[in-house]
This record gives sequence, C-alpha cells and structure tokens, in this order.
Amino acid sequence: MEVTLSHYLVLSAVLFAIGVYGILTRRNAIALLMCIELMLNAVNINLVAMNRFLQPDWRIVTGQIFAGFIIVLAAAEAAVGFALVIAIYRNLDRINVDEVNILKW
Amino acid sequence: MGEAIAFWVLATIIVLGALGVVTLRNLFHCALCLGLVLLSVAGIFILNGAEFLAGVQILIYVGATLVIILFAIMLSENITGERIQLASYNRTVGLVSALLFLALVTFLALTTQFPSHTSTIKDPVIAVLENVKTNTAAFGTLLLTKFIVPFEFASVFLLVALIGAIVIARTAE
Amino acid sequence: MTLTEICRTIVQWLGVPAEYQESATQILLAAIDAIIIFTFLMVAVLVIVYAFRKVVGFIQARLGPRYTGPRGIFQTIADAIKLLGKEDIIPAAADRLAFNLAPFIVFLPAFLVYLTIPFGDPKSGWQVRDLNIGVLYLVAITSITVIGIVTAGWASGNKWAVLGAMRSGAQLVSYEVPMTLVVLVPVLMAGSLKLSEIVENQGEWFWQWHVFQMFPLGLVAFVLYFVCALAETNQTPFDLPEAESELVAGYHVEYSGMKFALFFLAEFGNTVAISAIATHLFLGGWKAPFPFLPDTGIWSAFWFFLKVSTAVFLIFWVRGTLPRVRIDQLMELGWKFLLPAGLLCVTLVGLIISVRP
Repeated sequence: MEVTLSHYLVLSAVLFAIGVYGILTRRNAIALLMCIELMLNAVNINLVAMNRFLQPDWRIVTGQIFAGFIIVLAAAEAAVGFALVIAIYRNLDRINVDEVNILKW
Repeated sequence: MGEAIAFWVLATIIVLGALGVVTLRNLFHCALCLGLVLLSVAGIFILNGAEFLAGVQILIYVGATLVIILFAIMLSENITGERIQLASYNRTVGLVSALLFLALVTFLALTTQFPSHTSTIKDPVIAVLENVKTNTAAFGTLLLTKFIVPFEFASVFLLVALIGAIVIARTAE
Repeated sequence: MTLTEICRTIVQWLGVPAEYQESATQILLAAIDAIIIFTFLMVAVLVIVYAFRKVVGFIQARLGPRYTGPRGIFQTIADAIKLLGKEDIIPAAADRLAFNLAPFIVFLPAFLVYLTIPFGDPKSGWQVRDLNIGVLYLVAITSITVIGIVTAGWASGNKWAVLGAMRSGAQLVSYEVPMTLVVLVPVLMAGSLKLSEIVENQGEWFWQWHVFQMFPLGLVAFVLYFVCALAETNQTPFDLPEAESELVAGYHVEYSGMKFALFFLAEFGNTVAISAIATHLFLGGWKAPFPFLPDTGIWSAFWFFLKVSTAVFLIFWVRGTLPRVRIDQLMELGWKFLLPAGLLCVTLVGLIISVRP
C-alpha cells in the first residue's frame, strides 16, 4: 500500500489531539509542558511531510527549515518553562497548576 | 513497501507512546514515553528524507530537552519516598474536545486538494541551491541565504532564553 | 557471494511473495549485520578489558591478572561468568520498569554507533551503513546515554544514586557542547558529514591527517576532542560519577549481575567507539601512514585496528596515571576553558577554509 500525504496528516492530527487531551486533563506543570512538546512534534511531522509531498524538488527544504526553527524554539521554551517549574516548586512546594494561585484574592 | 512497514510501525509507536504520556500515573514513566515518541518522530523525519532534521531532533529533543524534563522531575520531587502520582481531571471534557478536534482536522486534511508548491529552482533567491548534493547541504545553504534573518534572530533568541532560564532557576543568593 | 546475495537467496528459499522480497532482503541483511556487530562488540570488550587490567596493572607497578589461563587471558570470561551467576537484586524502593530499562538505554547508544563506523575501507565492505549525516548521527546517538544514566540513578530509589546520576548528567551534558564544536573541525576540513569522505579527505602521508593539518589547529582540535570524549564516557580523570570511592559508585550502586555487566559493557564499548571516531576524524581512519604501504581490503582493517589500539592504549594510560577531577573543577573546565577553546578553534578553521583558494 502506498503511504501518501494523508497518512502523515492523520498521524499528525492524532498526535496533536492526544496532546490536546493531555493539556486539558493534566494538572501537573511538568506533564503540561510534556504535552506541549507532543503538540509541537505533531506540527513538525506535518511540515516535513508537506515539504516532501508538495515540493517536487528535493533541494528546496523550506518545510524542513520551518520545522528546524520550531525545534529550536521548543527547546528554548522548554528550558525557560522548566526553570519556572523549578522556581515555583522551590517557593511553593507544589507544582499542581490549580494550586499555584497565591496571586488570587 | 518498506516505507509502508516503517510508517505503520513508527505510527503505532508514536500513538501508543503519546497515549502513555497523557495517561500514565508515574511522571517518570511519562517522560520515558515522551522519549520514545521523540525518537519515533525522528524516524518519521528520516522516512520523509529529512535526515539532517532527524539528527537535530535526536540531538536537541532527546539529548537536551528530555534531559531538562528529567532533571525538573528529579528536582521537584522528594529524592526518596513517594513518587508523585498524577490524577486526571475533566476526563470527559478533554476526551470530547480532543475527539472533536481530531474529527475536524482529519476531515480537513482528507478533503483538501493541496496544490503543488510554486517555488522552483529557477527562482533567483534559491538558484544557489543548484549544486547541492545532500539534504544537509540543501538545508544549510537555504538557511544561510534565504532564511538568514530568522537564523540570526534564533541565535539571539536562544541566548536570551539561556540567560533567562539560568536567572529564573538560580537559588536566591 | 556477498552478504546481500546470501540474504536474497535465503529469502527466496523461504518462499516470500515477490513484492515483499526486496524489503525482506533488507530486513534480513540488517538483522545479520546487527548480529555481526554485536559479536564483534562482545569479543572486543573481552580483549579490551583484559588489556585494560594488564596495562593499568603495569602502570601501577603490579602484574594484573595472572592465574586464569596462561598469563590470565581468560580473566574477562571468568568475570563474565561470575557476573551472570550473581543474584539479580532489585531494591524495594526502586521503580521496577525504569530500573530494568536503564541498563538497556545506556547500552543502546554504545552499540548503535558501531553500525556507522567503518572498520576498514568501505569499498571492501567493512562498514555496515555509510550515513550521509554520519558525524551528526554519532553525536546525537551518544547524547542518548544521558537519559539512561539519569534513569538508572533515579530508579534506584537511593539518594546517593540520584546525586551520582545528577552529577553524571550535568557532566555529560556540559561536555557535549565542546565535543560537538570540536567535531566540526574535521567536518569543515573535509566538507562533508560522511565518515568515509572525511577519511578520504586525509591524504596518503601521515602528515596529511587532520590532526596535523592547519597546524596547530588540527592538533588542538584532537586534544580537545580527546578530553571531551573522556568526559563523555565517564573515564578517568572524569569518572567521578562512577568511581567506587565516590558516592558509593554513583548511579550504578544498586545494580548487580547481568545489569551491571551491561553498564560495564557499555562503558568499554563507548571507550572503543570514541577511539574509533577519533581515528576516523583525526588520525586518518584506515589509511596507512605512507603511500607505499598497502591499505586496501584486509590491510585497511589492519591499519584501523592498529590506530584504534593506540588510542585505546592512550586512554588506559591516562586512566592509570591521572587523579580524578572534582565535580566543580570538572564543570569549570568544561564551560570556562573547553567551550571557548572549541569555539575559537572552529572559528579559526572556518576562517582559514573560507579564505583558502
């Protein structure tokens, strides 16, 4: 059987949907950030697959460059996000995002 | 034929791993499942001819981001004693929204007629790609000619993120 | 009869339908290659561990193993039998899945890098797969080791193991950065990430090897790579996370029997792997030092193993001679000395290459 663009798009959609489910159900800050990584990877699969199927010249890799920038930004966001998690844990001794609400009145 | 086998094996691992990330109760196991998903996504990149990107994905995502995740897990739990057990809230709402989203995107993906890309090697900006032999060479050439501005911005951005993460995670002096 | 043809005949003899034959041949070939590499790894570690104990013994003014077999050559086999016969203890506070999985995550990169390193001239079939992203693949796969070590420490449920794992993780991640930079120097000189092209770029005479090119930048790059690779594989003088006298052997304190054997195997496998990578990147790979010496076919494997043995001997020499570095000295060395030195080296090499006609 032939693997077409639709297969990769559906795989990407499934991964993204699982990430959405994770974001909506998890309350631990670290688990939330992990689900965000899932969603970013889903987008990367999408971009690379589209670059391969819709750009007949293999030398033009615009989709892959876009995916590369997403990897770079995801790494930076993960670094800052997890630094925040560690700082929150150090001050409040908990990382359940529902309970980090001391700014509320 | 080989691509189909590889695709289905990798897709199964990705979906099972992702389900593991969102449903497992032990946070460390979730992180290990995420590692599995990231490795399989690198495999999908190789299937699509993005070999340089696959190497970068393993080097950065698995070799650095996953390590940050594991360190954050270790630094935010007691070193010995009870592990954090995760509970799930709003399961039905989450499931319904995820399934709705999945249905919408799958419908769009399967019914859209994607046009073939219009930029060709004859465009003056990317004519420099005429002589590249490998995917890495194409990636690097394009990155440093057409996408030089985002590239420089990304370096500054990474520097800012690096300094920011160090400042935020430092213990109060 | 090459290996590919043997696999094809086996697949046809098994009666696989026609449209699956090519894929089945590739899969069978890959499986047989993996088995060959695994066997080579086992035999190499057997020899290397014996060599290690003898060399370090002689450096330390003692004789090393002497009694198991003539001159102690069966010592490693005896050790392996002993380790396999030990009881497999899992601590009560340990996370069973992660505890059992960690040795495999540590062993996997040590094994995977051998699949792309040429053991001789690839044209004579001494390389399993010649990847276009050879060097990037090597750096990326060795960065998976950190995950295994951190998992091993955390899953042991032992605070000393966790501390050892965190120190080791910090060390490995810190030294990955200068190593990736320095590995770029031969890549720049050769203009390709492919290992076979990097070796082809080094000429026939020994002064054309990358370590002597652009003097002294090639030499500086080789020394920096060597230091970073020692830190990457937890070798002395950077073996703080796993020394027996520090933190009770760090991240593998709770492991016994087969799993400890896997850690051990991974460590010596990594040692040979970094020597092999250093040989290809800097010391001319499978090429002879002088053009009049033969270096095709089996001779290429001979030169390769000679150079790798020299590099491994150098590692053991350092291991037997230098004292251990403290963790803060280690981090300082990595970030404040090796990283700027690596950056400077790569910048200068890049400048020279861009202005060279």
